[in-house]
Amino acid sequence: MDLSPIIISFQTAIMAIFFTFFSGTLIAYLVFRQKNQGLKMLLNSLFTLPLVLPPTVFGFFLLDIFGVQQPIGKFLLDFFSVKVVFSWVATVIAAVAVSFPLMYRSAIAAFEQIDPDLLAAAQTLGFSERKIFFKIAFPLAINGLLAGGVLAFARGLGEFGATTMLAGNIAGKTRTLPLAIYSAVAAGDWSLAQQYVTIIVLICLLILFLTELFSRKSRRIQG
Amino acid sequence: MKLFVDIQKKLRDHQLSATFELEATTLGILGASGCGKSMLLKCIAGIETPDSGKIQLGDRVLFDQEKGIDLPPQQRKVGLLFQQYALFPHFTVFKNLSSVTKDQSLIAALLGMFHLENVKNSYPRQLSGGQKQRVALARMLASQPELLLLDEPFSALDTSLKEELQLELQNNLADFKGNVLIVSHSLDELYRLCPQLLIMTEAGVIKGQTTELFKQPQTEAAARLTGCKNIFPVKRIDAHTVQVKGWATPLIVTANVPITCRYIGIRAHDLLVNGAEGNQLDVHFVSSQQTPFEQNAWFVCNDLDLWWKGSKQIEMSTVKRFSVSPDAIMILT
Repeated sequence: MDLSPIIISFQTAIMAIFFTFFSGTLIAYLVFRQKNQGLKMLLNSLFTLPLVLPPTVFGFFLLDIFGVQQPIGKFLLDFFSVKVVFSWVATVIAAVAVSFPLMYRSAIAAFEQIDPDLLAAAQTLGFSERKIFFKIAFPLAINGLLAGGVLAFARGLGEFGATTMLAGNIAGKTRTLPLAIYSAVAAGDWSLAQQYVTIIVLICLLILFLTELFSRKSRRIQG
Repeated sequence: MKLFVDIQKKLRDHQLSATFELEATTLGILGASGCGKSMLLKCIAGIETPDSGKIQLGDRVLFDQEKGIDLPPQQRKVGLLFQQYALFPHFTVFKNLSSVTKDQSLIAALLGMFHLENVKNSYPRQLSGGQKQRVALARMLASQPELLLLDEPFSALDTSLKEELQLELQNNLADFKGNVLIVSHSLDELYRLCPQLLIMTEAGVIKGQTTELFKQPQTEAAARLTGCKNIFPVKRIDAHTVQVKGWATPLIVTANVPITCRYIGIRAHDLLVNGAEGNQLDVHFVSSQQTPFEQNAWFVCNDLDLWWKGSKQIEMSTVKRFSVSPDAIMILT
């Protein structure tokens, strides 16, 4: 069995969760603290959109941005000699794009679970907004954030649609586990597909078990 | 330091509207539940934004809708004590205070003043209700506010603790120079702690000396909020006589009855059993109810309900007549 899809999948998912966790948490917090309810609803819909859109739509948008014929893609190629499309970086970008809304929704939910009086008290006590985030909101939401992070990691690991479009399916380079399963089935290698399927099911099961563990912990702290 | 408040805010089912001014005192705020008492405090603290109006503390404008001024809570120097105290659950008592101020001698002084030295390394969940309240007060004072707002400070505590803690609170706040606003639905609490009282009714706010407002609440709604149960619509006869609709004899009143008088109020404690002096009321006994140290009784006087409250010694079912002193009758609009 070729192990490279497992390695590529993990490298991609780990790199992706790094971006997703921090950007998702931060953006969720900014939206959470937004006082203007109309703007809050608009931003909420916007950042959740990737959750309901087919990943191929994302693949389309990403190609539209990073394709070598497009301004940004061309700029990256001309000045940095970086070709995003059909590279490992593309698998990361695709994974970030599709896992972001999961992180974002989990983070918003985690922040909303904090007793609003605690944040208001911090304000009246003179805490700066930065201090409220780092000393109060983040530590109190940490279990919910971790649960969201694990979920987003799993989603990144299982990404297929946007990855195929932006990164292609190049063995040893951009072929992640889901793509390897697809290829194995397409090539008629049923037993290889079975092995990959078993691996990914076990990994995802473990991840969901961890999520459950974190959310139980967070419920205990809130209660 | 003078506090000036004149704000309006639309709430879910009615309009919060409050205008008052006060200087160096403790003001109690009384109002029906859901009338926006807590909202008023949150608006002053800056957590909620009024729709219009102005809030000024000393010479600092905290909020002015017309001028577009809306200081964030961090800059208002207004301390707010939350109903459930809002202690940071992941910080020890000491950290709850030290996260607010770096001044170690101030922290030490507050821990001493509020008897918290022996629990300073405990987490809020390990504290009793009374200790939590003291930590919240100490933490609030650590931010050195110029105005204190207490939102139902005793509602989260056991009854047995309340009276003791009310005295304690009074002592602890005695050194505080600025204004203190206390929201409560407990008449006892407000009467004990607050020299001044603000009564919030549908028709607007009434402010005055607490003792005065309990004696003379001015309006029907205010009388009800101060706990008066016997309120009757009346017709004014002359400057010292009113007629309760359906009653045989008019009532003699000591206070001057203005033309605007539409109701009178008689406190349940002011109905005297078989007294010879004053206005006489013939009544029929309906039922009585025992409370730990008193009894309540329900009578009917010419089809109008009459509530009596007093000593457990009296056998109420035999009572046929009450007397009411002319100066115990409250004139209400």
